[in-house]
Amino acid sequence: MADMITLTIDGREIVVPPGTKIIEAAGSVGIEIPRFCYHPKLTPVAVCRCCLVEVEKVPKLIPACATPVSAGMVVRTRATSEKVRKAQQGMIEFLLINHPLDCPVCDKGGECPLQDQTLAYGPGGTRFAEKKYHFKKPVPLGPHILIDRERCILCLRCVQFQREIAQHPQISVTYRGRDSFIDTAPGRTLDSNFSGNTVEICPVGALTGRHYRFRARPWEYERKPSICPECACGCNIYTHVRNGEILRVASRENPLVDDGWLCDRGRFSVRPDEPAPPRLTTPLVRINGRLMPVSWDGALEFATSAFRKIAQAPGRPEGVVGAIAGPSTTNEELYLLGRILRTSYSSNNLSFDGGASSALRSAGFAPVGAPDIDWADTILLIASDPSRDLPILDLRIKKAVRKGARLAILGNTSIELASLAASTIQAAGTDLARAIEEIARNVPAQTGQGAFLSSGKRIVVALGETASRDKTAVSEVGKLISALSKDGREVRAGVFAGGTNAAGAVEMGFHPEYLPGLRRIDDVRAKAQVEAVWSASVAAKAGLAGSSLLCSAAHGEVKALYVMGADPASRSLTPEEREGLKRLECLVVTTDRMTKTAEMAHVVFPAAAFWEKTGSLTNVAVRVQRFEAAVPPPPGVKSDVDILVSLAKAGCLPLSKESPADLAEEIARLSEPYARSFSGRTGSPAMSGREG
Amino acid sequence: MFLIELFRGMGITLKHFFGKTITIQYPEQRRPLYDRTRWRHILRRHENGLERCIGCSLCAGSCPVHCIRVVAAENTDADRRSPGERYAKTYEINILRCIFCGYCQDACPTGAIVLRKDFELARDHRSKFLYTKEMLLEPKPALQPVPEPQPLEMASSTHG
Repeated sequence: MADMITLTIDGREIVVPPGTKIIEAAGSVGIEIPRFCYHPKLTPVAVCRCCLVEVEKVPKLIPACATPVSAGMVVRTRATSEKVRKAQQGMIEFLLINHPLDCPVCDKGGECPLQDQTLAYGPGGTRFAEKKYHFKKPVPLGPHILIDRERCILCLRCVQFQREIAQHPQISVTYRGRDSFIDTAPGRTLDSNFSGNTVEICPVGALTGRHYRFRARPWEYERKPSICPECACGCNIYTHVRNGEILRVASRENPLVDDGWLCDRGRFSVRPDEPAPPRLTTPLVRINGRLMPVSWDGALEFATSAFRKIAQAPGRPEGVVGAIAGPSTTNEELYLLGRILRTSYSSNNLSFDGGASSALRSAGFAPVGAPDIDWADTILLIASDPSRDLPILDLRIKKAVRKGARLAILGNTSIELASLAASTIQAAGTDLARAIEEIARNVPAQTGQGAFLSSGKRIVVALGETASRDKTAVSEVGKLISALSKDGREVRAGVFAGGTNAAGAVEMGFHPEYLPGLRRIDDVRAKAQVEAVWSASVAAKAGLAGSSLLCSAAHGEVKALYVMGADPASRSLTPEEREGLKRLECLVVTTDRMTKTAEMAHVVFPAAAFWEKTGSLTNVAVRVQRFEAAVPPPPGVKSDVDILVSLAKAGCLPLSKESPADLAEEIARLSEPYARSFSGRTGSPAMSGREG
Repeated sequence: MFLIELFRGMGITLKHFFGKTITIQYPEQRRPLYDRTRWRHILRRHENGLERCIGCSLCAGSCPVHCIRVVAAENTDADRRSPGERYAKTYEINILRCIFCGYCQDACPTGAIVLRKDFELARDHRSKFLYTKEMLLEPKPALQPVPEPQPLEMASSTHG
């Protein structure tokens, strides 16, 4: 590589690409330079002055975080320069003048870069004998974030994050000099959906999250890698667990998924300060019209005999049994439930209750996720609002636009990302398909948005939830893609919608029309492959899902329903759908706490909540991510996989493989993305620690 | 031969019989304890009645046998237990596990937990050895001045 730059740091010769900052170059060979305001993902502001280094032929010390390397530069850090060492000690002493030394009280104590770096690089004492500043504290900045102005060292990481990454510039430095502090504009709050990240990047305990404050010390909890179950992004997280309780969620950077950021929905889904609704810990069976607690064996027996009675009625009707699964059920649970329903009850009535299906994938659309957004130079969002549905992809799109990608929006032009778009077209409902068709026509004609799109080389087309349900819109998108995929242009199209694990539900065959591995049920050869693995036959007729499943129950066609982790009764149902739920002869519900559907059920099994499960989730880009239980389930509660295995056993279903490893191996034989993830590892290879 | 040995032994017995008594009639009589005797912990208070303990868990962190469990919570102005923002909502010591090493006392930044001279710790049931915060906390001083919610400053003026 000809354009690499060679410089010397502390007598060591280092070769780095141009544009690298001195602090990064030093870090690449393990020379540590103290820093507070520097963050690898933010533009340097060089305000903390702790990364000062001496550069030959430069009269003054210069900040390593803001100075790019140049050829032949000779840099001396604190290791070799007394001047630098003295300056850094002075800076740290200076930062501590007004910083309260109540580390035992402070939430950051134990994971605090200021504490760590004072110990490593700071002076042993202070010459400041006067009284420190005292402010009213804590001051709420927003619904989740509180600031302690005494602790703040004005590094501006939070301000930079909100301005650059979240692009919600809701906080800034107010006043000047010794009076300056971080605040919102008068009368405004920090209500950005990414505000929780400021707490994580704060190098002191100034910013704290309302739900975690003073609950634990960093050395007390176990950090367990997991996956956020709040949306289809599948952000990699750590759960911080103490005494069997999750106290908070922290990011676990994975550049292919989340870039190290989390949205507030995911981060603050864990709220130890709020009372949790009571858990269900014993199985319930409806006896004489009332749900009564019974033993596990009794409930399993009741459920299997009821299901068997219905399925083995005279004539052995197909499709009298159905299943509904909710979001944040794992791939393994979905696969097993689908398999049991298909093989023992010859039914394909599998309905996933978590948003749009990824039916587009089977229509030749490749999944689209964070890496594709990084790759694109042109992004078209069709009736999609990532800021609301997939917040971390919203950050990715903002990053792409920052780096020069162009954004086009078709659909609702009042969404947040529309302010960044270079081209917007308002369209909704039936107009949408027509608008897509018009753009497709405009591509060869080089007019309007068509011209805009066709000037890109790497184009990403993302469909929102409503658009992906609209069959005409989907077929028009197909035409648009074929029109765009000419003249050396590359197109990747996918769905930006769906609840947690919606993509996994399709991949696992929890779909009325698809068997595991995206095999269509009417494709005889594909069906035979699945039947060979299962050594059982599968009904050829496509099943029912969603509203039609409940409606057919109202007509008495579907008689029994297995509801796993879903709560259809709490949605606004049509009278017919509600009637369907009521008319069921057997409604089995597995849930972690009492729901409206559970109240209507004949059998209720207490199931493990998400954090108590081990399994995998598939994100919007069809990336299968494995995770392990963060906390054990309460006594008496079983995981959904265990419940299904027990049910299968009680129902004499020949499940040759029962252990989780065997189950995973069987799924891997049928699903290629699952097989790719299945190498025994948990989560991502990138397990970075906290910044500091 | 045998008788001589017997009388010699009885002679020693007789000598001590009329000598100075060493036995102490515990529990009526007690020997003074050394000043640095380390036995049962107490949680001290400030002069104004506020708890010294700020729930920092450093005692639990330094405890070599993990017999201390602290769960902290946030002080509010309406319900102020300690100076500063954090206080110990739960403070438990499993005294059966404790080895009275005094590391907790050394680690405590506010001098809240101290090991004192109460060594009579025998109880008749295992469950009585889990000392709760109520059992450990010093009683409130009789005369209680209005607590001053002032920001906490650590005793040490150095940092690092």
